[in-house]
Amino acid sequence: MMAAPIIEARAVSKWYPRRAGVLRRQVGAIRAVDRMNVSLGAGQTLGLVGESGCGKTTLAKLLVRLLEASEGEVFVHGQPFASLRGPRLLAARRAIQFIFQDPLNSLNPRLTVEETLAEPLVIHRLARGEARRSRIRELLVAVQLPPSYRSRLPRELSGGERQRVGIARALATEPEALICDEPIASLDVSVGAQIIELLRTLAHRRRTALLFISHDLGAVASLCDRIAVMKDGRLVEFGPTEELLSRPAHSYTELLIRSASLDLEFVPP
Amino acid sequence: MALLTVEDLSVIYAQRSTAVRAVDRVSFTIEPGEIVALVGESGSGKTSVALALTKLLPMPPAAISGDVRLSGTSLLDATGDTLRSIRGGTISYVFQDPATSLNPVLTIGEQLVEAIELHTDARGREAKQEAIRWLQRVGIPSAEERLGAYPHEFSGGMQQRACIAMALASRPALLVADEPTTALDVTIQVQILRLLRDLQRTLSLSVLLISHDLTVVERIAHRVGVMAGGRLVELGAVEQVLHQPAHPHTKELLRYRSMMTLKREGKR
Ligand SMILES: Nc1ncnc2c1ncn2[C@@H]1O[C@H](COP(=O)(O)OP(=O)(O)OP(=O)(O)O)[C@@H](O)[C@H]1O
Ligand SMILES: Nc1ncnc2c1ncn2[C@@H]1O[C@H](COP(=O)(O)OP(=O)(O)OP(=O)(O)O)[C@@H](O)[C@H]1O
Ligand SMILES: [Mg+2]
Ligand SMILES: [Mg+2]
Repeated sequence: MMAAPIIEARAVSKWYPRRAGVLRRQVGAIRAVDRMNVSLGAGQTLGLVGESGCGKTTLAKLLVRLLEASEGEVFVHGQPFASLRGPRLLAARRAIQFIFQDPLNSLNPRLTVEETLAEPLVIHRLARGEARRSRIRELLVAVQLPPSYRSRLPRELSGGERQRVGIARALATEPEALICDEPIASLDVSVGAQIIELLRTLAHRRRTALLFISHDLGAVASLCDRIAVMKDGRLVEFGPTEELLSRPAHSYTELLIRSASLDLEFVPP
Repeated sequence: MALLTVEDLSVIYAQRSTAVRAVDRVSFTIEPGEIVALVGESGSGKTSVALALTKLLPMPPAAISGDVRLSGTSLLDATGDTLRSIRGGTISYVFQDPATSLNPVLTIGEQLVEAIELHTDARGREAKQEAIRWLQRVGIPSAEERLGAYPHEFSGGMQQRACIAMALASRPALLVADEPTTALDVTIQVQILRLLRDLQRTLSLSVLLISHDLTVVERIAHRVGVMAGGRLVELGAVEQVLHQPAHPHTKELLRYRSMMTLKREGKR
């Protein structure tokens, strides 16, 4: 028998009220995510791409249960995520970690880097005393931040440094699945490439499952075995990376690939 | 005459026991209608340069020195009202973190209309029409309906585009755009770059563009400066710096770039 995937979404949807005018009357619903299926098993790397506003962050938040689905369900090791309570909920939260698209808003402005990284270790009782301090040092090294940054507050960091603190925090619990929402968007190419390398190592050596959201098709292609393409809340194309890039079936996928080498005088169809 | 002249700009952040020299004697100019890019590794001081131009850094902990001139007028000596009228007016910003520059309790439309009424002659209905046009120009679908949305109802990339619309709506002479396209897929990125190029050509808009995306820089900038450890280690025409890099840091950036580009040889 095959083991259940670490995380699986079955026909999940998220609707937001659509409002119009200054009075914000409700005039219908935005289907931010529309009956999506996603499954992530150990060691699998899935890239999620699609135009801005197509529903990638909403889907990611449904998977980690930062949002509740309007319809459909998310399962963790075959158990409905929404039904988990107490220690089993805590275990699921530890197993599935999220890297936020917006690093500044996801970090507590009053916590130093060290306190931010200690928090998951404390909540999940993973390390204390010297072990905790050395784990924090390891995490900083993994995301290429100097140890002296331990005492910095988020506002004392550059944009890319903040993003890396968010990545280190997600790695702290050694999750089974990592949902990464534009994790390298504000990193320069060299640090970005090294974070990709780190994620690749986790997937290969520790069998960490990865959902990797990025508008950088080059990065997605270099990390992920499979790619899912979203448009207007729906899955429009899905397949092994090589195949999808060489023979895109959907015109939007084709446009994405082509625009990676566009020049400015190009007029989109 | 150059629109912006920066000479020996330095920024030091006071930390509990030490001081961080984030920007170290940086000098460059921007001509009217010129797009100058700043690239460099994370933490090399790009945002600090951008914010220091109009003293947007909290002082302390920051200490700024050097000379910054906008059409000859010193910005570092300017205070209060003068600075406030320059920021958001003659010089407008797209900040690296879009969420922080949007007001969470005002709708996108209210914020755009406010910027338009403050800096142009348009009022009321006309300002609202102008706001809709700006949202359309940055590729927000159903722009009229979306005017009534609050920032948290926008996706990451939509927030970023709203910030770009707001910065441009005040008709600046100089746009300082700090990583303005990080949350945008290539199709929309190209649309935004084309918009900047059009404004540069028709209205002589000058741009200081900070980006770690060398493809974006190559597509739109005239000159590019490379920062490393707070210093501007190389500055020159885009073709020259990106194709015949002189400094080891630039070479390193370019090496990683070729590792990350989509490998499609023989596939299409
Ligand atoms: N709280 C909310 N209320 C209303 N609409 C929302 C809310 N959150 C998101 N939306 C809408 O849902 C859609 C999907 O947003 P989402 O953030 O998932 O997009 P995304 O694919 O992550 O885009 P980006 O690449 O720009 O980050 C957008 O149209 C957005 O405006
Ligand atoms: N308030 C502060 N106190 C101490 N150091 C600071 C403070 N703000 C920024 N720094 C440091 O100054 C350096 C330059 O930061 P800056 O934000 O200018 O970098 P950047 O080039 O924009 O980087 P990124 O590409 O990651 O956004 C960084 O090493 C950062 O840690
Ligand atoms: Mg998003
Ligand atoms: Mg920065």
